Amino acid sequence: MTFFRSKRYSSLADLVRACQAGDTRAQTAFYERYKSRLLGICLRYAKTKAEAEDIYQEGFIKVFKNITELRNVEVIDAWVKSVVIRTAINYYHRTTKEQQLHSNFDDFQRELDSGDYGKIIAQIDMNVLLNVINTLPDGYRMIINLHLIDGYTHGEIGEMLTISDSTSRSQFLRGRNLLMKRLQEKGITQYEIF
Amino acid sequence: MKSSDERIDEELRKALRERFDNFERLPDPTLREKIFKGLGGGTSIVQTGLVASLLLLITLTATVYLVSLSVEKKNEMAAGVKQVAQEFSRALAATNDSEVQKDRQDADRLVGKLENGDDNANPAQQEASPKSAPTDDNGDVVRTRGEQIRGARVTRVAVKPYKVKRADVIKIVDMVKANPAFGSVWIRDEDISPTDRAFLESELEKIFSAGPSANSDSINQNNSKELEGPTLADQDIGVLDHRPMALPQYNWQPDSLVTPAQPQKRYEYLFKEHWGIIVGLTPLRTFQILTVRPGNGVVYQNFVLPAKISAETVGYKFSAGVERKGFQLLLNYGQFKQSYRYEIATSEFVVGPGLSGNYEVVRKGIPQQENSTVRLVGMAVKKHVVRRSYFLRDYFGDVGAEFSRDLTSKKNLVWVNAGFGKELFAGNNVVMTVGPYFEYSLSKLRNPDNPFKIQPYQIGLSVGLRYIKK
Repeated sequence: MTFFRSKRYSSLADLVRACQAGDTRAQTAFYERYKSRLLGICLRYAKTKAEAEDIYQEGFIKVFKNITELRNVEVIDAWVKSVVIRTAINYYHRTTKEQQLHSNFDDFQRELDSGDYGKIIAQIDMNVLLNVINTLPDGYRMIINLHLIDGYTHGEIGEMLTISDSTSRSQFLRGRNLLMKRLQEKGITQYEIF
Repeated sequence: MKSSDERIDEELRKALRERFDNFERLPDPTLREKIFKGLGGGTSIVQTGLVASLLLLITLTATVYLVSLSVEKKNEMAAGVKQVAQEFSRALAATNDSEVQKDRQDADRLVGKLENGDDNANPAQQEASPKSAPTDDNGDVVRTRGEQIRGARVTRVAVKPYKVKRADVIKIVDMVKANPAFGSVWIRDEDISPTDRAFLESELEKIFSAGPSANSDSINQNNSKELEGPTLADQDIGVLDHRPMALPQYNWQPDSLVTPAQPQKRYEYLFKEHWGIIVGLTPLRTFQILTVRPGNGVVYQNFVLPAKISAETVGYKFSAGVERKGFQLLLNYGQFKQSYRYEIATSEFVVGPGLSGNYEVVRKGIPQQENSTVRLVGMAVKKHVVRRSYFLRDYFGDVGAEFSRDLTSKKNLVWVNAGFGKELFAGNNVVMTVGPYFEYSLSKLRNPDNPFKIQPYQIGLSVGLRYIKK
């Protein structure tokens, strides 16, 4: 028996405002809304699943603690994503910044057309593709994710990673070539299997 | 015109975004617990303050109740001691008066005898009189001797200051013999000499060893004489009123006299004709009836509810309001937890040997957990009935209804409740109520995150205070 039909967060803005007011039930609903999507982002930026879960946990806590600072609640999706990405970068700064990048791509011969890489990415198993990205060195993985998938410019990446634009560009090129090399290997393996 | 690098970047970007834009993975349920634990569990300053004030209220209540109990006991003891002291002083005064009177009579007798020349009339008194006393023939000497006799007696009392003399002991023994229903005899050690005490004890022992049968026989004979007649039904029942008083002498406090009319009047005066203020706290154990609605082909399985005794099932309710003529209007704040685990069934099945040795098919599921707190603000109306008759005196019963609103989901609930217990006087105008309490929600709480409905009901122990200003 319900005397007054309660409103159930009729819009995303309502949900965000309820979270800003500290409503625990709204926080639960908010968590349920973003939990899978944000873990997907964390899995891209992290090297292992355990690291991804650490970033995910830390990122969500930051979201809930800082959500009151969000003025325009309509951009909540982008804001939540940026908080988690910055958490991943901080995690990378804290734990793996000292890792040296010694990859040598002088021997990398591009054997496929640019369109073929797209086809490989589209056809390859998701876990295999994720594994290719995860096994990139931390710096390359960050920049590939930031620039290719999340659409940040080299200027923004330079600010986020505290490196210069040119460093970002050069590291991106190296990272991209490594990615292509790995994809090429995986693509051939896949073709061989099938 | 784009360079080859740019074309490759574009191809990679397009392909990667297609794969990763909607890439999602379901997190482990334990991550959610960790995140919300990391947020601090949602305990606000207001909540902490509320809990602290409730604890303070309970402590104050207990203190007021215990202090009032001890004061009442002290008053009763003081009244008892005062009464005993009065009885003794009265008895002592009577004894002294009789002794003085007796001395005077003896002195007068002695004067008479001396006037008649009979010096050996009372050898005991002669012994008591000092030999060096002047022996003039006029009355002055006699008066002097009489005064000396009294002086000698005063001196003897000073040496042996026993208040209860042999004569008093004999009187007490006679009194007990005459009235077998006489209560206890209390005489302090310093008020009676050891010989008199031994005498008294032996006499009383004789009376009681002779048995109540002897005494009761006589009483029965008397009673049977009084009850003799044609039939028992014809007897005047009023004869019972003339039976000897069997209670020990004791001045009952007027307030503690229990008559059928007085408490009712007092109750009406205190609680029916005046506004009262009520506060209460009820720790509650919450039970939930879980209803699963059909959810777009999703199958839910393996529900796990909290253990019977678990912190997850404990809630509380704080009430405050007013009462008049047994009707209570209360504002309530309470909270309880909603906690359960379940699985969303997947299309994967695991086949393995079961406990019985046969192969069993188990459907795999994605574990989920619901763990939220329901905070309710409500208004309740109750009828409070207190029994004032001898049987179950001061026991009360409550029946009522409550309308409350969940602050988090903004949903409304309607409850019916009932309780009973005992009223304890905790002060002049304060009554403490303690007893079990039960409430049942007629409404169901719908969870916004899943297709479940929860219908709660709660059992707890209600502790309350009622203040009625005279």
